[in-house]
Amino acid sequence: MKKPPLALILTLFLAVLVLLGLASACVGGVPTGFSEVMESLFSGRETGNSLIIRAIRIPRVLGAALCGAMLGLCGVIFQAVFRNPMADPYLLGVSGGSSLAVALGSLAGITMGFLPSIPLLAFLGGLLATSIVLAISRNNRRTLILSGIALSGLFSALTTLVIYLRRTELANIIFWNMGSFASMTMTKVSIMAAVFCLSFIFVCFRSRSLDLMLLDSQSAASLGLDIRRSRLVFLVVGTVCTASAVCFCGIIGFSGLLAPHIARLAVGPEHRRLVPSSALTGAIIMLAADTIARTIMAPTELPVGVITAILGTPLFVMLALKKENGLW
Amino acid sequence: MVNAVSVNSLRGGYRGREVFRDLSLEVPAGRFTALLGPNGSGKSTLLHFLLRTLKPSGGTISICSRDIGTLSQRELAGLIAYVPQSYLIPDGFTVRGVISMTDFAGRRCSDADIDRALEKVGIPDLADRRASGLSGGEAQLVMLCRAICCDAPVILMDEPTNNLDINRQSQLLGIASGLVGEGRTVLCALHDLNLALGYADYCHVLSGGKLICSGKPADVVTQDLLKTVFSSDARIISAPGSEHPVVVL
Repeated sequence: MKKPPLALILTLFLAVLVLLGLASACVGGVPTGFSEVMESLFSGRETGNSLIIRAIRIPRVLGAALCGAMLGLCGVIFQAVFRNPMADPYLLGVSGGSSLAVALGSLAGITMGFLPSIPLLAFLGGLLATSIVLAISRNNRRTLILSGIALSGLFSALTTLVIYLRRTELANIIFWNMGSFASMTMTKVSIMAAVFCLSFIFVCFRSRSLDLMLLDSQSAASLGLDIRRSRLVFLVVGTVCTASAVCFCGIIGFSGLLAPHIARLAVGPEHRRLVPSSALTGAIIMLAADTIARTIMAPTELPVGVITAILGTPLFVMLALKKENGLW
Repeated sequence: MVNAVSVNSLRGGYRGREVFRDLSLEVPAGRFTALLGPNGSGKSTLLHFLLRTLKPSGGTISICSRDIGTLSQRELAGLIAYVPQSYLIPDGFTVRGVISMTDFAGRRCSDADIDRALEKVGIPDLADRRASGLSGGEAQLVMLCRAICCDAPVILMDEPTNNLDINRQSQLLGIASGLVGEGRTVLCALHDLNLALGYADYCHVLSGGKLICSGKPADVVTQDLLKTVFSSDARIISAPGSEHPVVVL
């Protein structure tokens, strides 16, 4: 069967993302019309709700889309590097490691106001978590995810403990364990955008390496891939993206698992096609999940991780059963 | 005789186990050389050193007169192609998709090149089939096809006939012999001594990481070798109609 042109699919995904973004900017505690959103975006005129739209809704929509795109990109990277279709930053414990490092940093007095140290802490925490998971599982495909889930649980408990020690409010615990875009600002969006763009361009240019990583090590080496170096480089890129998403949006599970699998259905397994599609799919999923999270029980806002977990768990179980049956 | 591969005083192993202490051997260019030896003798490990998935702790390896320690992995890929013993075929890729991965080192194969290679190995209809759904024999031929498309002067094969029926075994090694006829060098780790006797021009016998002997298979595979290296009581007989001796249990 002939594959549909990539440009067509990406245009379609992009159109869905833009429409969803506009729709998401319309909904919230103060309902606003589509024309009001467009006016706030494209004309300098002040309307009744333009401040809410510009200062709260737009950063939130952009932040959710960027976070989803980064996690979609991370999912593709981790699934290829670990040759495991169940790999995802959350299930591998990378998100948990980043989250715990940031929580520990805040216990030590490093606050969000001092921006460069927070992403750095998140990165180091994520990298440490990846190393621990690799050491425990000895890179065994079967034990990798189990080790990641176990470590993720431990990190989550420790993060909650740290937050309790700081005697801060419940909202913080929810943020660090289930994610939220409620405190998104344009400064955070800018940093996330910079990290995403650099990582995305790098991965797009190296997408063939990810194809080769799915082969046995000897075949990949015979085709020209320096496996050790490539794995290290991609792990660092994946961890940087995860850390960036976690330190500004908290832990949001399963979207890194969902996005690549949905994108594969549309564009196939080749990473040249899969990488941009998965990033866009991740952005769409996260934006949809956040919109549902803040509207389904309005005015109460659900943690966005609740929605992604509800969507992602059936896929996780399905993949686990497939593995059990030896289908991959 | 020009050598395609030269291993000089190789030292090294894996997971803390030193397989080779001082291994030196040469693989003649434009020949089919079999690498023989019992399980654990170091045949596959030697191929891993040639592919640089293992790093030696001493000694040098040259392929086509170039020290592989000084080459990038992509440059090395220009000199060697590989047919694995056990392989991973990523889910969802077509046969054409798997073969076209040779473009990573700059060897871009057109669809026509891939079709020609598939025709050559006798599976012309599989190009657009899902590679993960192939039988073991078909998949092994796809691996050979990928090696052909690499267009490298040296082809390394790691027990490629394992899990293949007798027809596929002879088909695969027959094609490999044909590649030698086209000027390529084949270095093939084999378990089956009869296949080595039937297809190889030259052979090296390894045991315990040491080179025991080298030469033409018919000269090297002797009753004494079977006894001392393989600890086997198998006999070597001349079979009517066969150009080479045959090992029988």
